[in-house]
Amino acid sequence: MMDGNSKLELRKLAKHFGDVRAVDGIDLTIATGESVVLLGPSGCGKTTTLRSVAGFIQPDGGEILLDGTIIATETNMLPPEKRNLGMVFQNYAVWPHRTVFQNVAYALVIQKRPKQEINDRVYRSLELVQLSGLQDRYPGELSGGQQQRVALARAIVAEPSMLLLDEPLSNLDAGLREEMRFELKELQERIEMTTLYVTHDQEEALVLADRIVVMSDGTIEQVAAPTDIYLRPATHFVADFVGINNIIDGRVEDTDRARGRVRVAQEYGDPFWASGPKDLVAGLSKGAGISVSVRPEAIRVNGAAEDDNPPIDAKVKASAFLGNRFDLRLDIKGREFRCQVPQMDFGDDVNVNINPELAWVIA
Amino acid sequence: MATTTLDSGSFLNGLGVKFSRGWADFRLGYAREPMKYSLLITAVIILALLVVYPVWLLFQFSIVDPKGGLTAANYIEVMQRKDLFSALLNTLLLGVLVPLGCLLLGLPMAWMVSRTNMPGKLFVRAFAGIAFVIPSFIGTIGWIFLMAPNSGLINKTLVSWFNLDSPPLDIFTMEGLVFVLVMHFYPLVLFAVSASLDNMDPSYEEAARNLGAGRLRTAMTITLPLVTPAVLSGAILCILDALAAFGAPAALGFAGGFHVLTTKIYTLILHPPKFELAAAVAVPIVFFTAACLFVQKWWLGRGRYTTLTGKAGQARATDLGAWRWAAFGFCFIVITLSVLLPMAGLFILSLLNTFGAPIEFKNMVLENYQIFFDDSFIVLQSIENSFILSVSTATLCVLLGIAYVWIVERTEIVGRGSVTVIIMITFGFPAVAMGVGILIGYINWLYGTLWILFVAYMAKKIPFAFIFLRNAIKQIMEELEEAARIAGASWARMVWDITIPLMKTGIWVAWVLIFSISLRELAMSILLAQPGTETMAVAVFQFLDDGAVEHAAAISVLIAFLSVATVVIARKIAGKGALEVD
Repeated sequence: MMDGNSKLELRKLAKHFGDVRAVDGIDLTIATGESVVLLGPSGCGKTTTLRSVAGFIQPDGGEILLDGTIIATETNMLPPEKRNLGMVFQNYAVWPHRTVFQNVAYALVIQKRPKQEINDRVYRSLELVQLSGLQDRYPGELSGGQQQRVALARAIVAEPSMLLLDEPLSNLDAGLREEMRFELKELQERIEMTTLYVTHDQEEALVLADRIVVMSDGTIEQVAAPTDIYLRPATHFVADFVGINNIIDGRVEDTDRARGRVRVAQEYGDPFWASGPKDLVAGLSKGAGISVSVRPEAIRVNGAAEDDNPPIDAKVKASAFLGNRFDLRLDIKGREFRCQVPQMDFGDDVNVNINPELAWVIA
Repeated sequence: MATTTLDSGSFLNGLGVKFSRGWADFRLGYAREPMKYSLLITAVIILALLVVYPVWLLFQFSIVDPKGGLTAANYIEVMQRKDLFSALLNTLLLGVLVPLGCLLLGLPMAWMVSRTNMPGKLFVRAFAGIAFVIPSFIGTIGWIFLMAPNSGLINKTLVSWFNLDSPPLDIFTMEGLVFVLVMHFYPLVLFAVSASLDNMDPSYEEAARNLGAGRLRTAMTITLPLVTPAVLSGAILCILDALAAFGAPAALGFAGGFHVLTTKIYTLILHPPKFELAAAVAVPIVFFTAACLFVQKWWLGRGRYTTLTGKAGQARATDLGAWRWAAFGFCFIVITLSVLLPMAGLFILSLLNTFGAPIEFKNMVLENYQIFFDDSFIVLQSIENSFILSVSTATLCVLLGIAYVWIVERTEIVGRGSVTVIIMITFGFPAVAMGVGILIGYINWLYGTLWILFVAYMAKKIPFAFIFLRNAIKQIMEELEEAARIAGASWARMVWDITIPLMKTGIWVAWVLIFSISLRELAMSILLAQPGTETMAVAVFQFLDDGAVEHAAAISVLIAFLSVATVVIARKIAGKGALEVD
């Protein structure tokens, strides 16, 4: 079924290298103008997926559709040069033997555009990435950050149908990386470009994405907006991979279907309430084993007693001062829990309780 | 579509699946990009015609009798004939003595040049390079001038100084041959080992010195063992080159009455040609070559020799104190013997009106050079032939080389490893053997034309293009090419816009080098040339054979000059590092 607004559609996309299933039958739809990030550890299949969309890899199964048209299957493939895509590579891949202008103009030259049009569009592109004035330089004379902008300008000059970025920021140093994150997001929104990013950096994903696709071992773990990925992880993997998490494994003691809450019996203290997806909560039976994602923010230290969740005794094992907060490692019944507090005006013995709004039940 | 999960998984089954998948991929690829695949297939077919076909013929002829049945008679005859057997012994002798001599000279020189404060290092390196670049048969002519038993300059000088009864030195002997070859091949060891030493972490030596080891002891017990791979590579190259040498053994052996296997092959091809016997002589050399290369690969794969730590470069040179002048003296003597003396001799000879005449101005003429312009001599034609062949060979080798390198480095085509293997086979193949194979294979169609020489040159020089271009393309990140594809370039456009320009230096270096080694090619040319298709090297030989040593010297001077000039040009294009070959 074709969604009129979908830019990219992956249907049961599969690719294997020898015995390894790099991409194991994934489904994904990206809407026009959306920015989607494929996030996951090395080997999860994100780069293979991106390169399949680009046209450098032919699928072993499934289909890829661009603007509603099939562009790749296991028997047929539209070559990269015919897909009207733009791509920014991890190490920029700006051609050292051509000037900045020639690099950016390449796609238009191939399309045999008139000279004046090429000039205009190249200058506009350079302006968008804030590189005006450098068009006659050679890449060898530019810094890493500048080369990356050239790569970006080059990718968008031909107004591609979609923009692909392979770990675009990983080669930059930390300060520049943070700055570029926002610039990239802003640029993408300004030119309303559908983009597909690949990264292993969670913070980057959280900043850049309208939706994040968390992948592991060739499959999709969860597709959701950044806040949902963080606060409401769907699987153990997502809860663990993104951000810090104190995952508690316990048993269902009671459920409140109306509010979508579960009372969890745990080994670290008295049972506590946690929230969860309504349909998951509805299907839980008493005594079933479940896991709960407990972010550091969900743990309140020496907070006011809540009717819902009783305090749990804890000992402060270590603390690190991070400028605007303290990073605490707590010992609760022999296990380490991480949380954060704005000030440390207490000793080693504390009590904590879990915020039921922020504790989230995973399967 | 074939599934990839096989429960039984027998090896052949796996192979079969792999190839059927490979074939399916290939057909898909061809449907998508017909031009690319056609070009690559054509290149592979050419490779088969140039290399596989002659090599296969060589083997076939060695085991076939006149009636067409299989036989070992050829090999038996090789073993039984006295002249062939003695040629075999001589070749083996070369294979042992020459590498030994090269190690004796090359190792100390490498250490001195790389790890000490000996003066004149640049001079030593440059002239050792010249010693290698000038073909061995050219240097031999210089030595003939100096050490021919009766008219050789050194002999005459020694006889008159010391009042000797008979001339003490005779270059036309096995000893002379070993000497000449060592003087030509020692740079192989020198460069291989010094490259390794240049990159070695100096702290190993410093640790030894710290513990009290003297300079010599450190060099022998620490430094030397650490560069074993380079020593081995250099030694094996010397062995292979000594076994395959043709020019020097021919120049000395025909006059001196002894043979090695390569010169025997040549005489067997002369009328009436005994192809089967020649093949039976050539094949063992080929196997031995392959065995050496295999041993080298295996040995080097075994050990832990990583001394490249990236902290290379300005290692503290060992201070030799006053001994550094002695070290330079040693190197200077070797340089004199390997370059200065023979080249001076060659030059003087080319200006003498007769070999043996006293060296006085009245005997110096430019007459010998006039043959260059005299139509009744073959010289002008041979120069023209050499240039035509060298330019075409260099150009086509580079073009084909790009195709082969593309197949091996940029595609996933099943079986592409065999392209590398085939190309490296010709690298190790003795030129004379390749010449016989090409002769047998193409004699019916290309006899008497420059084309048969062209085929032979191509077959033997492609590996050079392959090696240099492979290094060049490995330095190009694939993303640079992918970026062009995404921007709208077809495969051919991408290769033209991105790959080839970025390989420019490698392409030019390969071209110049192949041009240079084609200019002075001897072994195959002598087998395949006919009146009218002689090359410069063949002309030199014909003059030698006719006794016109002075004329041979004149052409040799030209060849020597061109050899050195082209390498200088190549270095200029490449900058320092690009000429190192693995």
